[in-house]
Amino acid sequence: MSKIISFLSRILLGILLVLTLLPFYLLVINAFKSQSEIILNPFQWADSWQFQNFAKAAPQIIRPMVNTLFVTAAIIIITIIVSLLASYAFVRYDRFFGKEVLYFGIIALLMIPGFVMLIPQFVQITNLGMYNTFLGLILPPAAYQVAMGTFLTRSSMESISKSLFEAAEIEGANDMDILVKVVLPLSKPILSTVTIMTGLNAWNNYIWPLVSTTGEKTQQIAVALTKIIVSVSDGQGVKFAAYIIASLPLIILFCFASKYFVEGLTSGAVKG
Amino acid sequence: MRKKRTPWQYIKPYLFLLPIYLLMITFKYIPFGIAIEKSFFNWNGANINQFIGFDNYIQALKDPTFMIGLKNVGVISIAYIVIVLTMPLLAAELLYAVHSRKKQYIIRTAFTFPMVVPTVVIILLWKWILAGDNGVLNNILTNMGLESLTAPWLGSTKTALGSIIAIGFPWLGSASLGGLQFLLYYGALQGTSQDMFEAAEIDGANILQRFFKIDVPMLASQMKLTVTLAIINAVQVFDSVYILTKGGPGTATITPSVVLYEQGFTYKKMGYSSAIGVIMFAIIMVLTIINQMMMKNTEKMD
Repeated sequence: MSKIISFLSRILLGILLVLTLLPFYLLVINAFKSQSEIILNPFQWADSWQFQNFAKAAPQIIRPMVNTLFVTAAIIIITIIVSLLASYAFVRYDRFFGKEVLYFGIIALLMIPGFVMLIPQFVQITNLGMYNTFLGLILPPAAYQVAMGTFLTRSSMESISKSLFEAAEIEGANDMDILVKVVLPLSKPILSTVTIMTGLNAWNNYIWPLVSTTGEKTQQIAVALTKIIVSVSDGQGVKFAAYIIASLPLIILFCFASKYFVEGLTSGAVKG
Repeated sequence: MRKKRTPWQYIKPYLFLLPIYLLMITFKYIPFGIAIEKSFFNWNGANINQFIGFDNYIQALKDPTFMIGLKNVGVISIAYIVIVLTMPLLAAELLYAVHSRKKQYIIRTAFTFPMVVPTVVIILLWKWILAGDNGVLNNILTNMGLESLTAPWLGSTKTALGSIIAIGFPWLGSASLGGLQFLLYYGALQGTSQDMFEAAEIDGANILQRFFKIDVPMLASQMKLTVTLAIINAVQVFDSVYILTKGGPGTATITPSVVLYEQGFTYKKMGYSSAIGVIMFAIIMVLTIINQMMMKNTEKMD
């Protein structure tokens, strides 16, 4: 009995695995095919490999990718610096007036759905002259990520022994020394997690670039992917090639930091 | 030992909090306040700005498109709740039953992989899978001799909403729906002691008994969290709907977020649009509170 169940559960696991990965398998094999081959049978390997699909796709998405890399990097850097400073205030100073209220003010932001603020944020960005600028793409999402980042870094930083701070102070270290030489090295794991979560959110962001930018100057990858134009003779293969190129940065990051990825995504779940 | 506090010492913690509060207040809390204020205004973001009381809210309740949108996210919410309580849990249990650590690690990585593919790429892939002409699903059906079942999945009012929900099937991939839940369940299973499962086995409990008597109470906190996330995602669902159907055909897949976007940016009815945002906020708050009260946390077991 238990052998049958164990066998059936293996089969079921295998089916789930195949179904999960199938779309990506199809994406990869069809990216190398001509339109007629794609239509004929999407499951078959390419007869004639169309490597030029990638060459044709690249010019349409390289610029949005560079734009998005810049925006993502900026949001990550702001998030790390601002979250570290804020967490340091809560961890280093035992008591100050309004401490709990100020912490709640940060966490409360995580409970407000982004859509509520969409319209006023757009008007604000326009009034500040930030419409269709990198600053406009960076600052509003960063303002959300810093709240998430502080939430994560504070709980991790609490575990640093207070005596370390005191020892450093006796040695004559000021706050900046302590932050850079004590807190930063000890916070590396949580900062990797924050980096990955923030990076994923920034790379995936669709709605904010959709409303706050126009044209190619600052175009972000999520929007660019929906606007790829292919000629009839090129076919969908070119689109698929573009999807693959656009996925590479995150996949490369995943290969190097799969452990932090998993931790980051799970700890990010607490944001609900 | 402690040095006397100078006034400077009192100010310092606030200085460390200055950057975060500058950012949050400027780009989140002020816009949030404006959203609530302008929901009572006839506002186009510029020259038209007139207080109209609750008119926007009354208009929303009378707006058939918005009401269909609410009904649609009701359907999507229920579907998402059912999905996150079944498929990722099933996958986590099946994977946990695999004995080899190495195999577990490889399969977990495979289940996690789609989460790092950009969401828009996944949505566009499903656009191709579900396409009426030369779509993958129709191709499979035709090859199986089930030609009568083929359909323009996203283009027909009967199947469009179901198709939107089906994106990401078997829902272990996308970060917002499935993948995360799978990791939460799997992590919780891994974190429990083997003794309990062994004790249950010795007592002669069968798999289903073990699942409902031990696993489900143990995973209650994770289930509560995944349901909360499912509701938040469902009420705000936008990317997939806007990219695939723009709410159509007709109003078959319209959602409040799409109504908000179109009223605000296409028709410049930004006061009305803000009111819809506030209603969405209220719905999420109420549903989250109900969920917090109704669902149990993990029981403490000794």
